Amino acid sequence: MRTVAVVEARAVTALGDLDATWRGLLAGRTGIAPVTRFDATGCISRWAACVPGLERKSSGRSLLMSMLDQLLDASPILSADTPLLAATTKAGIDVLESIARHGRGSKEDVSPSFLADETCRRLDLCGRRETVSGACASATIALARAAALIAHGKAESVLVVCADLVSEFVFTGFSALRALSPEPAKPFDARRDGLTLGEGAALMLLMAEKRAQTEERPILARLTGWGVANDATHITAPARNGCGLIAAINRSLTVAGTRPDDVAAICAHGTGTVYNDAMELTAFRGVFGERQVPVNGVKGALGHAMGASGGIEAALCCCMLADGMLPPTIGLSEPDPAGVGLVRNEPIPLPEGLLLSTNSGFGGINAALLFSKPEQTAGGAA
Amino acid sequence: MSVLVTGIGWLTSAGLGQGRKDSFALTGNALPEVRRQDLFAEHPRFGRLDAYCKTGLAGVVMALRDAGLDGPLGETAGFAATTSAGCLRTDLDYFATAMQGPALASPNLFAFTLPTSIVAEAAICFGLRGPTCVLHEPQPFGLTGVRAALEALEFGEAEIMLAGACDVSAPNWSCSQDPSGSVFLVLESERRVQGRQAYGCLALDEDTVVLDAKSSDERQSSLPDLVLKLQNLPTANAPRRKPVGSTPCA
Repeated sequence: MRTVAVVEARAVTALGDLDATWRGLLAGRTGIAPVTRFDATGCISRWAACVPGLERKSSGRSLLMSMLDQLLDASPILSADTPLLAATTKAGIDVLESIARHGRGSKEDVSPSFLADETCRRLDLCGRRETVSGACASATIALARAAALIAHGKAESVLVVCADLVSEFVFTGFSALRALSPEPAKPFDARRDGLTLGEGAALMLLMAEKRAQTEERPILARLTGWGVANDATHITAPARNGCGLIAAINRSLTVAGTRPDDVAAICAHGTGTVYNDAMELTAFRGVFGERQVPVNGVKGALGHAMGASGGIEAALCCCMLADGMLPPTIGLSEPDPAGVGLVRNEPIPLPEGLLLSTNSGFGGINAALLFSKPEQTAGGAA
Repeated sequence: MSVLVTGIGWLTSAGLGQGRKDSFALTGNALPEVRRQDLFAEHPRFGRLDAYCKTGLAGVVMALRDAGLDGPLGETAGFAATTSAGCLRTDLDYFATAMQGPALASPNLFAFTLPTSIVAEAAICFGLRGPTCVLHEPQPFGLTGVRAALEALEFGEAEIMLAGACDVSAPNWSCSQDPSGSVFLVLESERRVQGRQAYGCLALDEDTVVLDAKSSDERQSSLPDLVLKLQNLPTANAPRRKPVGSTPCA
């Protein structure tokens, strides 16, 4: 299989662009604030992590347009036939809200295909395009699919773009499920009590490493392993024994041709719900045994950006590898007993080795990605 | 790499169908109501599923029944489906409750406002523990799901994939009369099938799904057209597995 390189990574979050987000995380800043976009009175939370500066450019269009303005303010260097994999859970759902309330809005923005179509239009892409729907692992699955296409010689490069909004639709829904925390989320905390919604977008350009070297592209990281697996247990809740996440992680290790011992740290899904975080800690123990692999979660600062979260976190993995740092798990005060020694509320040096990024979603969907520094060979050695 | 089609199943306006014994046609007419007992001996949640889930599950059940397969299918079994409207009908139903106030927003409906709800149900019913996802297309009943399934098999990520499409139109949303229904194929690696009867072989020619007919490789343009061609291909020689009847679901 060919080596897959990450040659471009961008993100737009409540803390700003990728660099601002990374610096903010290291400094312990949070993008979670009282939501003002709609009236959250009656919901069990009033907190969300919204991207600053989003505005409706024209009546009836989705705020996703404004988010894409920020993400695509400078076009990446691409050939027109570069395949595009987009990932989103609800696309322009804010327009559905407007249509339902006022009878006004652009219906095409509501379709999940809208993200791929709009991105292709802005970047003049004419090749293969897909929109991946994998619940909260949508972007992670899109990255896994992109990497597989390149590794198996089906594409020289693939662009992955993901985005999701904080919307009244989703906010009231998670409130109705009683899954929101009344206060900002506390991932892996002993007193965690739910998630905080967030929004954002990310872009990653993956390329066959040899091609990237020929084109003299900067190589930010290697995407060395990937895996997708299903719990087959419940339509919304994760399997308590973490079977699906364990399988996804093991698949990613197999693809990478490496062992659990070579994983240096984990960028976890870490939503802050009682069951998700417990499942993840169980799964990590199932794969890594008693070895204390450092675990980090960013959703205590960036909120849970649904289908975009995996892409944002993957982009941040490139920053972690570049700077050799694991950011703090913001929102964490007292670790869950199962997370003692694993999760921290302060930044630490990133140990040498592979960086695992995991995401899980409704429908028992789990996905895992393994990143390495560009100069790292299989087995974790530099 | 060639992959064998070992099962075909669907729910269309004409009703449930499978393989070659039923006539297949996809029209814009309304879907018939699907009853739990048509698909499962037991299914504790069936009555609470939304139309999109029931429709998708119907196609999956019929395809697996046609292939003579029952669950749990395990870690080498996955799912890839395409949809155009996805769960839009349920989205509208859910938001109608949310507009009455957060206290009246329906958690039961919200749980079905992801297109991957059919993934969840199919995975639970048949123990699909491999790679699963839904892919969106602007037009219904395309081949993106089949292509993704073929890639999963080619890349060694699975040995059996449920591949197909599901669409349930939302009333008063679209001016066009797009068909509603679900169509699924059971795709298996040659190694797994090991001489069992199959409808035909599928392969990928770059990004295009190709019917690897003995006479010629034919590029396929839509899932309904592919089903019609598979129905009319000569059968292979090996005997089929014994068909299963109604299925208990966890």
